[in-house]
Amino acid sequence: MSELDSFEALKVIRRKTFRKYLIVTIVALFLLVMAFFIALKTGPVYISFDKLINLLFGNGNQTDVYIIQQIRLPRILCCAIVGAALSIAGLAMQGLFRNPMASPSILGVSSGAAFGAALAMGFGIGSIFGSYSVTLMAFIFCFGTTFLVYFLARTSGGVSMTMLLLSGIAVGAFFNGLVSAIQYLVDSSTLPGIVYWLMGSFASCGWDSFKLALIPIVIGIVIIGFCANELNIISLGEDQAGTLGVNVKKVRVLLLIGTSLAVAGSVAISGIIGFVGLIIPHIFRMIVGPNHKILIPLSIIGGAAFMIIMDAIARWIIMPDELPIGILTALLGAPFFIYVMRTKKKYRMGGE
Amino acid sequence: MDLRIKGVSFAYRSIDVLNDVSFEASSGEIIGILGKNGCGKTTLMKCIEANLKPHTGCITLDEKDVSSIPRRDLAKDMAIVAQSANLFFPFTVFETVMMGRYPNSEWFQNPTDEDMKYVYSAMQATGITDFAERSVSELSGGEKQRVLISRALVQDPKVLLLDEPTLHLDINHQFGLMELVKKLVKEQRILIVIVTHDIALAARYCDRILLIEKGVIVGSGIASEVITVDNLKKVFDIQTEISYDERIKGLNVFVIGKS
Amino acid sequence: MNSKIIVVSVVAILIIAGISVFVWSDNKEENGGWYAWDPTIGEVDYTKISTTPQIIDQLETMYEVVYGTLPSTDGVTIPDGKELQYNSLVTKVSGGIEVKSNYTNSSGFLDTKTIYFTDSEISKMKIISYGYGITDSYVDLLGATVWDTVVAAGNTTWDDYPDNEMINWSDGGSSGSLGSEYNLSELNLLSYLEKAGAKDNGNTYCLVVWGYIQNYDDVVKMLFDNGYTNVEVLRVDYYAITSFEYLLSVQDLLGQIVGIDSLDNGVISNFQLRYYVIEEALESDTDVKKVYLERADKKSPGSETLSQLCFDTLKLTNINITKGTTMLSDEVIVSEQPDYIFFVKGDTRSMDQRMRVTV
Repeated sequence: MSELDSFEALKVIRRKTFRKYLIVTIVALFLLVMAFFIALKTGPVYISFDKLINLLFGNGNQTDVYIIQQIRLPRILCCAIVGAALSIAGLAMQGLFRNPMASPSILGVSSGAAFGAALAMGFGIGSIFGSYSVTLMAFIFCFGTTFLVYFLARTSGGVSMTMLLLSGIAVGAFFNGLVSAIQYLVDSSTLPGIVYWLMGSFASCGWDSFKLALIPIVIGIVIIGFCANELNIISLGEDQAGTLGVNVKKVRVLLLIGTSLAVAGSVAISGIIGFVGLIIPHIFRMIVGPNHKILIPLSIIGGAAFMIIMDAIARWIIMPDELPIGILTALLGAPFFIYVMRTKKKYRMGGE
Repeated sequence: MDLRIKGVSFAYRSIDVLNDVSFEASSGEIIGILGKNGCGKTTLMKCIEANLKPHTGCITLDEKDVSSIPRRDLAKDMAIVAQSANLFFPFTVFETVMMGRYPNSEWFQNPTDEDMKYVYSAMQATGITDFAERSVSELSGGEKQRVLISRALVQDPKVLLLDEPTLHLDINHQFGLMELVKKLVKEQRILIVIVTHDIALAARYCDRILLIEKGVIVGSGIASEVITVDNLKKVFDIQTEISYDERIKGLNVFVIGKS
Repeated sequence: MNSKIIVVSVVAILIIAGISVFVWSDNKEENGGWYAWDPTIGEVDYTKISTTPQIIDQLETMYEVVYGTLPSTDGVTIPDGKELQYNSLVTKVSGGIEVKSNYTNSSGFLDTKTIYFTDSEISKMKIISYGYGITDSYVDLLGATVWDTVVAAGNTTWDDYPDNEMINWSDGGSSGSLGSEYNLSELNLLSYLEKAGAKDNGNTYCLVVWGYIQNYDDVVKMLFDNGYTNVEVLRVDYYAITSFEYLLSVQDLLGQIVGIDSLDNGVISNFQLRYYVIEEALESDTDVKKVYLERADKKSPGSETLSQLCFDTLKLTNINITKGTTMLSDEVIVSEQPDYIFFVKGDTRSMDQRMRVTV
């Protein structure tokens, strides 16, 4: 490596890095736009490419307009925000736990959300919310589970990451058991609905879903995004982060709140979708490194693009039927995960 | 800057780790906290850096209790170079050292020219300017150590705590580090506290030494008064020969063997 | 380039985008969901669309939704040859009947066994209905089939069965064989037979197994080894029932085993009558009427399903043309605009949710 002659050389390095980040971001944005149009075109009802733009603005055959404006467009937007939300939540958990294998469901929040939804579908609990009962129950339980896990992990010495992890595993397992119990108890005509919800799908995501999920997801992402610097420092050690001036406790709470909001918003409209929060941060970490200041925007863009494409595949692969997207992400995600685990040594726990 | 440790005690469960430790130090000194492994020196260091709160007594920096100073403000005055390298995510050396500017920079601000200057001179001081773009997780133990030292220097601290700084360093780098330390003390009047079990190091470089055994102060004062044959025999169970060496302008400790 | 400016402007753009989306989607016309083409909506009990005669109840429910009042069966006689014809699974031989039972033998191959019942055995026949590998509720349905038949035969009442229970067992749809000790759910077949005094009471027993028995030979052997020469094991392929005709064939089989002649089988004639009046009423109907049925899990029965049988009878065109039960995309439904939409009992969604007015 060449000898640096002054701090100006450091500035050159910064500019180089910045240029690299810019290129990757532009490519990612391009992929996002491509994904958007591919997904818009995909569907059992054939709509030709040239008509797409017109239909977006309401010009053309009314049925086609309905399909584009009321079915496909909101669904794609929902995919985008959920993909971004889960990716960012995964990133936050990986930084917080200093473990690249962490995922947004590490704290058992998905299981809590599943339980809330099952209660609503199976026993009509939460009927005061009207037709939003399942969505809101899932949301409330998802969010509430975070607090439960956090408070269970508190000891006189504060909250350690290990305790948080164990608490999350235990609470997650507990809620999973409850969900199974509910599935056992309900009517055979209600059971398929619950099972289907648990597999994750965007099939019922229209404008209502989008508006519902937008706010908590955006707030969650913004909260996490603002902790980018702190995430960088914390990922090199919590005690050390403290000595560098980071208020670790505050950042931890912020990250937990941000993650719960983002995950709760996602689960509420699309059910449980796994692996996205694990894969996307990994891919981008391999491309641009561990700096959260670039990882966060990239994960948002990449997560959105990824989910949009996955959903398009789910709608296309057994056309005119649909594959629940949770199945697809698991089938594609697990092998990818194993591949990463085995090849990229520097991401294994314990470093060298 | 005055660092005062007043009557500090700490216990894990019912085991006393520190018992009524008191000590004072001010700018421009090199203080050594010396003792066997497990004597409580790491715990004392954690209390000084406010990661642990002593059960009795307090530690003050310029009359302010360290545990009550907001972390960011504390980080502007005190920097710690930790022992183990948690440097496992592949940040570049440059990025890692730049993190040291966190306490002194505004939220979400881009690094300023001033920040860059700090980073550069810190990297120059530890001789790692070549590594700027390398990823920290690929470095050797000693190189990582130097990165951590740079990061600490970049905080522009008035107090610098070094936890076993020579543990992973090659011998020439050990000298380089200690020369740097001496230079910092002379030029910037930084108070440096070195926690170590390396007797020769403490004897040679420290102005004053706090000798600890099983959480209790066994000796405290200027080096020549603390590093004595009797003390070393008592604490470390070794037979030594100690002399003042004109060449190094410091104490030379020759270890004869077990006592 | 100050990153603070970038961050603030990105957040601002997002917020503006978000608000505009809200406003834009609110400005659109009131979303009427599927009400837009004014379909007629009905509800069926999907669990009763089954391989039992109870399916005709659902057929009638659907008829009422589409065509209005059911044609009356009062005083109606079906002209000869116009009744729903079926093939008999029973061969009459001298002194009794012959029935074929398909089963999987211990080597794992499909095999057929011919069972012979004498007339005198038939006159003292008790049926034990056992549902195997099927859910409890479905077993109840199948058992009801048996029950209706044997009661109609008049040769049994509740009193004829020990402990006044309906002989209708199921294993809850779990295992793959009758178990190493031949336990049929909680009741041991042998202990039941003993309690009933099967060896001495002069009755003949037919164990009708609905489902896929794997160790048929072993069960037969067990019964033989324990001295029950008067218990026959008959397997009935309920899932091979893919037409109304075959449904009746199975009903006829059950009836003949308890001595009910084909022409005297009340269950069959009742079914044929109700079917006939509907068929007659719709004979000259040629309108194309599109139909869509959606379950609670949003799946929809396509071709080669029992629901399709009903649709065919009612001259409804199913917009779901895939085989089996699958989930149809909302787009297809919107594009096809079915005239009649059926939902199912037990669907916890509100009507607005089902019609895609809200989420």
